[in-house]
Amino acid sequence: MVRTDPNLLQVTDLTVQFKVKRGLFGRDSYTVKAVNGVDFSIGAGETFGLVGESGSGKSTIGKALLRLVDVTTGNILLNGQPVQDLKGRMLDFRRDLQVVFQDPYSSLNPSMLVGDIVGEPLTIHYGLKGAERDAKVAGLLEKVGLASDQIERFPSEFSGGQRQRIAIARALALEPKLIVCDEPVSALDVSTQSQVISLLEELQENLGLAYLFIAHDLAVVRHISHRIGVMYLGQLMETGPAERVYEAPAHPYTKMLLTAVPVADPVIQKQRKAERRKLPVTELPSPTNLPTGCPFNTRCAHAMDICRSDAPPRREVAGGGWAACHLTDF
Amino acid sequence: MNTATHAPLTGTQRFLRAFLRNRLAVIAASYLVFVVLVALFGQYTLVHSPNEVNLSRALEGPSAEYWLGTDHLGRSTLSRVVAASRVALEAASLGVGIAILLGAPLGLVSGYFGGWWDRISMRIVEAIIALPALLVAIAIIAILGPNLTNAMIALGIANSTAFFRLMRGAALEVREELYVDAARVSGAAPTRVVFGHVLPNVTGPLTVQTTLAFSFVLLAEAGLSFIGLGVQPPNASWGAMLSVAQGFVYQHPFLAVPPGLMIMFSVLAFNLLGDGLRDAWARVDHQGEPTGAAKRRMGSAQQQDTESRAQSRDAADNAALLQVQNLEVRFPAPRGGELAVVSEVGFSVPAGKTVGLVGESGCGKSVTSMAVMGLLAEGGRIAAGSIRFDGEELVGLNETQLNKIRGAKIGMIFQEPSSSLNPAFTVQNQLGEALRVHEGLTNRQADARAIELMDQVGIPGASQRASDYPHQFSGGMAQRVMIAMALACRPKLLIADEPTTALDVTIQGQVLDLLSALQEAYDMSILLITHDLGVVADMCDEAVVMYAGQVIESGDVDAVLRSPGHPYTAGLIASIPQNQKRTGKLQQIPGRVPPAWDWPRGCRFFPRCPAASAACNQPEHIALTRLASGQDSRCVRATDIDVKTLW
Repeated sequence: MVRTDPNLLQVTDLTVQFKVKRGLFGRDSYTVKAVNGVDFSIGAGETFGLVGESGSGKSTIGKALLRLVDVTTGNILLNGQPVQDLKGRMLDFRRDLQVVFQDPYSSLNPSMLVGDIVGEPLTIHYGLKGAERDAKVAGLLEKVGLASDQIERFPSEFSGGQRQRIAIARALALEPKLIVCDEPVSALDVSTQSQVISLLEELQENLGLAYLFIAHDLAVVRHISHRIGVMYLGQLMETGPAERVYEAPAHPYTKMLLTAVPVADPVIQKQRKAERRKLPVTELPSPTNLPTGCPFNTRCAHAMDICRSDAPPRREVAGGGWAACHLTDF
Repeated sequence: MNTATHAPLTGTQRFLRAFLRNRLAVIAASYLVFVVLVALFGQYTLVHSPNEVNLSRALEGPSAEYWLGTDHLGRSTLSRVVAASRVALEAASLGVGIAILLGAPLGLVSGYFGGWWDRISMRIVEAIIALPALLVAIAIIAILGPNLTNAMIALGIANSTAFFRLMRGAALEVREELYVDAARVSGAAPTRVVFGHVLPNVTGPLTVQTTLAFSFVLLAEAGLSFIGLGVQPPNASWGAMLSVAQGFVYQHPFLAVPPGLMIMFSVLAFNLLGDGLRDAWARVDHQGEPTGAAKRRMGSAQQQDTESRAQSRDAADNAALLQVQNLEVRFPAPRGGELAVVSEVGFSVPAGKTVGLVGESGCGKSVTSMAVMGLLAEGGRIAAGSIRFDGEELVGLNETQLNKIRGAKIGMIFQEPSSSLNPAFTVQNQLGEALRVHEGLTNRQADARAIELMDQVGIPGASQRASDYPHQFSGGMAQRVMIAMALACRPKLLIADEPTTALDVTIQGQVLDLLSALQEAYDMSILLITHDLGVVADMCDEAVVMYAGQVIESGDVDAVLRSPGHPYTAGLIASIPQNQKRTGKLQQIPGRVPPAWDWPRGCRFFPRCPAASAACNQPEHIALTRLASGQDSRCVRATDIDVKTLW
């Protein structure tokens, strides 16, 4: 595996806000802070797993990187080039950064043939058409494990896993350096999930791709990620090498996420369930009205007074990475 | 079964089938094709020219020479009707063409880009809609002089607002689709996105609107010509012909019949065609998601009679509360015939226990649960087997009898709580409905009980939240409301179909805990349908694993998950990514669940199985056998291989 650039992507202090207009003439407008001061970097050929529940802002980060939503403040450097100020069609930038979305049903245009879907980027960027384009598309389909003679079929003729392969082939068409994978396996069945993850891992090995792998629980990202970041309400709570985060979580939220995923062993799960039932029933705070101090303080079993007033500092964790928590031991 | 005859139909094929089944629409379409052919080529077959005057034969009835008779100038009515159909179609095409070319692209652009352009164009559209189209046309004619083209331009502009609004709405919807985002990421310019990605996906509603616009413009043309503002004499037009006939209504009433019928039939045909197209598209769009209707039926069922619930409660013996035996469910195959999507399914749910029905999509677990509820999607039927619930056979019961059981003795919760709640009513109202109608509670009592239920399912501040609407609840809280509704009549059995799949993991844990607690409090059984083996381990006493429409393994949850007796179960457990560190390759089951028309003979899993041998493909039927570890497995090799270490 070629790993030349340790800082293929550098995100510094990224903030994305949405204005929601309400009422007559927008009198009751308010701002939603979807992403709030997030920093991370991804090296060439590396996978960074971004984990968080709904409303954590993980998908918004992906969209901000792809310039599908506007960056409010902060910096995104891809290959050292600032992304947030790009204008127009950004063709050079598009060649380096591609995407695979969660829902393979909505991410493929139902009225287009597979060849047109996968080949469209080639037409846009290189003007490829006809037989020349189809030859390239056939190669891409083979790369993702589909028969190359399926160019003239519609997406509706494929299963969910196969559709996700088509979406991956489209992302590969421009030979990007980084692919944003926004929950690429959440909509798939268990046996198909591992097939798609394996395919992504294989492609990384062979092509030196980097991934931003977004998922809603830690279970899926463990195998594919080199490093993991855990998001909560728009902020990073903890980052670090995947195994360290999984084996020795340094933030109460990470720990809560880990215990929440039920494991398929009834004996172990019975103990975990007993532990879980001790936890108070909590709900995610509204994103329009974030808690002061640590965002997690309303659901944290260890919350102290300082957690409600002061934002916790990022402290280094043995084994790599950092956690934003006032406690060092819990 | 061979694949070619059972393969799913493409979208176009499904659309055509749905359309052809609508007899009225097909007749209307055929009629319109006939009218178009007449308009295009009819003039070449005519004996008399439409303007050929023969005063000696004025006002005659139908005869061998003049099939539809003659008018006051002795002109052939048939010839004039034919000529007028050409005028009518030309005029309508002009009017509708202008409307589409003007309205559709502007609407698409407006909907896709939004912003100030959208706001300004919407105001203009609203202003045009406020003016009656026909009056605008008359005003324009008053300025420019009576002329059909002018009138059609005016009608075209007025009608373009309908296309504008339709396309704007469609574009707003399609804009949110991920494939539009994907195209933007590919670097597609906005014009490419709008006309390459958005437009092809809104052709359905566009076609429907076009047929309706045709009927409107046809009628308007006839009206304008009737009052002398459209087609000018001596040219023929259905409206002008009616106008002439009006003068001779006592002498020769038949004169009004041919043009009148033409107008009526043509307008009617365009409307019927539009309806037919719309219905056919709706059918194609909603293929494979029959649960919406089923959910609504369930919703009303939950408000059904509950009186008998108390009687048999204390008769709770430890025998199975629900017993499914040898169940076979058939659905119509895409190209005719029937397909068994579930066969030989048997399992039982003991009183007070939780049984997990596990499998990937396409395994038949949801069909099985819907069959138990008598809520099979349209066309599905139970072809064989028995479903006994609480000592009563459910197969063969009619809707009224089932309604006494559903909702009262069997409660149900679905994956998407938000789509199962009615957004127009408060939560308290919906919870209280069943209590008011069937338990005879007063409004006040029902409201109090609703709050009590909400409190019981752990909704904080139940008394304040009771008057909230469903959209004001988060996913987890909405699922709690659904659970409260299912519990309102104290069911003996709760069927939970992927109850936590749409929820976040931390919320999933809370909902599972709630279900466990309520199970103890209400002493009810739970049939849990899920694809998540972790949830099965968390909740269930017994597990039933389904693959390709069959039960392939069932038994005590410890046995099934800790020492699986079927290679498929073992493969599912092995491929859960959570159990695997970065080191080494991720375990996977090759291939995918085959569709129902493609199930192999013998063992249905053997093409994907690492332990497959000739024996697996041989027999027509593989029975479930009891293993030493206690569970049943439908694997001929279960005893001679070590299933657990297979993967």
